[in-house]
Parts: sequence; structure tokens; C-alpha cells
Amino acid sequence: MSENEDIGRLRKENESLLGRVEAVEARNRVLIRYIREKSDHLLGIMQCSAGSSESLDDDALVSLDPIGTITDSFTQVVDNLHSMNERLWTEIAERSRVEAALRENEERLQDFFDSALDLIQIIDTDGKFVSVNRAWREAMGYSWEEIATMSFFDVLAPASQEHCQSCFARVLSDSDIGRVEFELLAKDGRHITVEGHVNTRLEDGKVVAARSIFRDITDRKVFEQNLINAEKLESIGVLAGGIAHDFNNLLTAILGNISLAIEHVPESGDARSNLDQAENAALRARDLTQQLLTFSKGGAPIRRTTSIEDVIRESARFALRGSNVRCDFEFPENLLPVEIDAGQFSQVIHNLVCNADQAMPGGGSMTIRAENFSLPPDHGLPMKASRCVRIAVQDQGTGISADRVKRIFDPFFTTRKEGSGLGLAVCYSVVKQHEGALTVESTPGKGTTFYIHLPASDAGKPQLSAADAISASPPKGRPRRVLVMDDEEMVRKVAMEVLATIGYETEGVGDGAAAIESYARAINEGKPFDVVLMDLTIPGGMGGKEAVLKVLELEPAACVIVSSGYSNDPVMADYHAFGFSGVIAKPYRIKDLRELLGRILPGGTGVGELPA
Amino acid sequence: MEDYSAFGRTVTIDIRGQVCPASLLVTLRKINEIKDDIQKNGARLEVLTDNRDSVGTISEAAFNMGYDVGTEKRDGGYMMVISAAG
Repeated sequence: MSENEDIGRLRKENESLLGRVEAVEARNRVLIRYIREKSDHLLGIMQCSAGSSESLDDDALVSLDPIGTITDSFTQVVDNLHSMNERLWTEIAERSRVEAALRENEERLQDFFDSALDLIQIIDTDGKFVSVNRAWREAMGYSWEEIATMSFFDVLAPASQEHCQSCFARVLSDSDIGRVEFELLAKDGRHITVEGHVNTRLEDGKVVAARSIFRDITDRKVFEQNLINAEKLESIGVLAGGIAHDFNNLLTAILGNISLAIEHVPESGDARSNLDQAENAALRARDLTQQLLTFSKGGAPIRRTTSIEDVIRESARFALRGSNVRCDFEFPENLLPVEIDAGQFSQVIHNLVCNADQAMPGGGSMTIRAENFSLPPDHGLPMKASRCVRIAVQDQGTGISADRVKRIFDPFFTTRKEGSGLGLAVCYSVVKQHEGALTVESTPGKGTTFYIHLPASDAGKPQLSAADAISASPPKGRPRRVLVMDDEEMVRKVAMEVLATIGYETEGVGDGAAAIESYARAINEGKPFDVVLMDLTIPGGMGGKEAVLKVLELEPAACVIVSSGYSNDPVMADYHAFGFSGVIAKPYRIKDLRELLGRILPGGTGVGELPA
Repeated sequence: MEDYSAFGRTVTIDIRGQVCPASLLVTLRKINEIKDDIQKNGARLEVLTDNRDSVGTISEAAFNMGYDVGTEKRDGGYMMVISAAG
């Protein structure tokens, strides 16, 4: 091959090679542009864009391998994101669990807060309510919407305002105030007594709220008051029981002597009027003693079938003397008999009529109505009998408000300054002891009606009528003889004098032994006693309970009357069972004794004369 | 200054005079190279730079990759320490 041919071939080859190099370079430029574009894109993502930095030159682009490096870094970013994501999920799950536990805890606390029977409240430093529990809202009758605008001082009864203000001031200075007792005023006006503790919530050492847990002790207070009343009553009972005997002996002497004096002075005249007043006062003293005795143990009434009409008329008239209140009576002809202790029962009528009188200070009229009454099966009254006599004592007075009606039979409950609070309590107690029931209906402004329900008696006609009692016939023929046994000389003396006044021949002895001796001697001497009047209790000697049995041994038909100042002694209530023919409670008047003798002596009129 | 003695070896790169993106890429390449050791607390990487912008970029990138980054001024520049996340 010639040289020229070689040169020509080489040139061609060279040209071809140059062409290929150009092609490769062109491809490289495309590739570098691609790499630069992608690198710039990736660096942009890495927030390292060329704007704030230098661009990489081609050599660096190749040697630093940005795509490889960044891809590798991205892998780590993605891994990191994955693990962060996992951590977040775990955290979210944990947070949900904690939130659920917190919610559960909160619900449990709320449930505890709301299921508490105590009244729980939180107030801020101005006394405004922050929170109260359900028991609080229910007891006080306010909704939360109402409470949210109120302060604790809005629900305090006036009586507790001052005390609470001072407690609150001490609480705000973070002092321990110990147990507190306040009276709250519910929305409906009820007074609620609460006791409890108050403590404070502190933030940065400063008091921000006062938390209180109160217990409603209203019922306990009432109970305590009732207990105190009951204790008072018991003390009165004990006291009354203790003094009643002596007191009644004294009153027997007083009343007996007054009765005797009355017989000796002319009916018209100042002395008679004075004596009448003295007798009334003594009778009231007797009633008061009796009233107190009603509360002492065993104050069983001495019940006799009695004309209730007479007792009612007499007691009402007595209660209304000097009053400008008129009393109308309505009694049916066929009124069933009842067994009552006339003394106790007249006290009931007296108290009820006095109340009616006081309820009508300007005067007016009242009505006492008695009727035979059949209680319906579901009467709800605390009494067994259904056939009863119902006595309505109705006034047109001021009436009694509903909240007071509930308490009027409570001992010591009174609305009058001078009232003892015993009057209606005594009525209630007496009627209850008669196995009856006392109820009340009242409309404020219109008047009050008390209903006494007494079981009707199966006995026939009343054994005693007040009208039978007085007989002024002078004694004729052989005088009847009465043996008077009493350890109290003044009682014995007055009884003998009273009996002598109404025509009896008397002999007095100081105890049971002497009585038996006298009784036996009188029989032997052929002038036996027609009646023995015996004191039930003789301190240090034989009393009536024992003596009557001995007398009955001597004379089984002997007529022995028991007399005692202990009118609540069981012997007095059930004297027949102990062998006595009659009973008379001290103190008594001439007419009481005369009535009794008239009733128990065969053919007797109460005067000391034997029938012809 | 924190005590890094708990770590195994310390790898130091000096990228003074370099700016982004070269400074970032050099650092990332080194991190990638020794990432297993760093993640296992067997190594830490010290980066010496005098470019303020680079400190922010490198810190953010390393943080996104899951590493802790501490920076302090030193000799008119910055010393960044990249280590496993606590």
C-alpha cells in the first residue's frame, strides 16, 4: 500500500474517530446535564439549592457522586422517618391509653362526687360556687345553671350569715376552722342544718378555693330536740311523780277546807265569791299536777263510763269564762257512751278550748260537735276500735300553717311566748291513753278543727252524770259511819269534817293496822262502818292495798274506797281488782266525795242517811 | 463542651474553604460511609467548616437522617459533631 493511501486511510480513520469522540462527548454532555438536573433537584429537596451556594463543576459532579450520596442519605432519612413514625404510633397508643385511664378516673371521681350523700361544694374566694355535687343540688333544689350565678352567702339562712362570714374570713387566711355547723336555706324555703369541714385549695401558696363536705343533720337535730324534750318530760314526770302525793295531800286539805267554808258562808256575798275563786285556783293547781303526772310513768287514766256531754260543756264553760268567744254545742240524743277519765278528759277539752279562744283574740264563735262515727277500714289512725265517738272542736281563728301543724303535738312546741308547749302534747297523750286518736285540720286564715276520736263503750248508760251529784237533802235517821284512814292529819281531819258536813259519822285512823282494829271493834260493838276511805300509801305503815284485804276478811261485803295523791298508781286505775269498791283521787271536793258515796252505797244519795 | 469519650473512634473531616452543595455532599458521603458505626455509637463524625450556611444545611440533613448534631464555634469556624441520636 502506498504512503498516500495510508495517509488517506488514517485521515479517514481519524475523522471517523473524531466523529465518534464528538458523539461520545455529546452523549456525556447530555448525561452530565441529566445528572446536574437530578442533583440540583435532589439538593433542592435537601434545601441546599444553588441559589445560596456555588454550583458543582463537572469534575465535582462526577467525583462527589451526588445522586449516589443523596440517595444513600435519603434511605437513612426514610428509615429515620419510619422509626419516628413507629415511635409516634407507640406514643399515640400510649397517650390514648393514658387518656382513657384519665377519663375513666375522672368518671369514677365524678360518680363518687355525685353519688355521695353528703353535700359537697367548692367555692372561690368571693364565695361564688365553682362546683356542687348532685346531693347538694337535690337537697337545695337548685339547678347548676342557677347555682353558677350564686354565692354561698345566697343560700345561708339569716341566722348563719354572721357566723359563716367570720368562718369564711378565717378559711381565706388558710386557718383550720375545724367542724362547722350552718343553717342553709333551700329554694323552697326549707331550713337545712348541715355540719362538716372546710379546707382550702392553694396555688402558689395562695388560697384559690374553699372545699366543703357537709352532712345534712336536720333530721338528727329534730331527733336530738325531741330527745331533749323527752328527757325534759321524763324529768318532769319524775319530779311530778315525786311531789304529786304531797302536793295532792296539801290540795286535799285546801280544797276540803274551802268546800267546808263555802258551806258555812251565805251564797251571796264577797266571802263566797272569794272562796269560789280560791276553789277554782286550787282546782287548777290540781289540774296542773294532773297534767304533769300524765307524762310520768304509768299515768293510766282512771276510766269510767261517763256522760261526755257534761264534761265537755262544763270544761268549755270553765275555759271560756271572761272570754268574748261564744261556744256552741251540738250533741245528738243517741250519742254512744265512752269510758273516760273525767279529770284527764276535761283537761283535754279545757286545753283545746283555750287554744281556740287564743286563736280568736278579737272574739268570735266556736263549735264543739260530738257524733257517733264509724271509722273506715283504712282510717290510718293509731286506734283499734272502729266504732267511736268523734268530737270536733272547731274555731274560726287564725289557723295554723302547714309546717307548724306537723309539730303542734310535740312537747314544748309553742308559738306563744308565754306558752309552755305542753297543752296539746298533754291532749295528745291523754287521748292516746284512752286508746283514741287526736287529729287536726287547719286552714290559715279560716280556722282550725281538732278531732278527738274515742272508742265507744259497750257499757250501758253512763254510771255517773254530773247532774246526779249535788243533793242538798239534810241527813235524817241513823247516820252512816265512815272510817277515814290517812297518815296525814290535815287530810284526815278535813275529810272527816267534810263527811260530817254531809251527814256522816266519822272516825279517823293513821294507818292500816289501826283501821283493821277499829273496823273489828265497830263490828263487835254493833255499829259497823258503812264505808272505809283508805289512803293507798302510808309511809312506814300498812297502806290501803294490804289493809283492804284484811277488812274484806272481816267483812266480805265491806265497802272500801281507795284514795291517793298518786292518781297514776295502777291500783287507782284498776281498783276493783284490788278489792276496792270505789276510787277517789286527791284532792277532791265535797261534791266529788258525795257523788262517789252516792254511787257506791246501796240506795245512796251521797248524804249520810240510811234509807228508811 | 460535651464529653464524647463514651464514643469509640472519632472521624474528622475538614471542609473549610468549601461551600454548599460540595460541603454537604462531602459530609453526607462520609456519614454514609461510617453510618453503621455512628448508629451503634461506635463512632462520631467531627466536621470542621468555615461556611455559616453549611452549618444549617448539614445540621438539618443529619437531623433528618436521625442523628444528633452539636455545633460550636472554633478557630474562626465551626466544629459540628454528628453522633447517634440519644
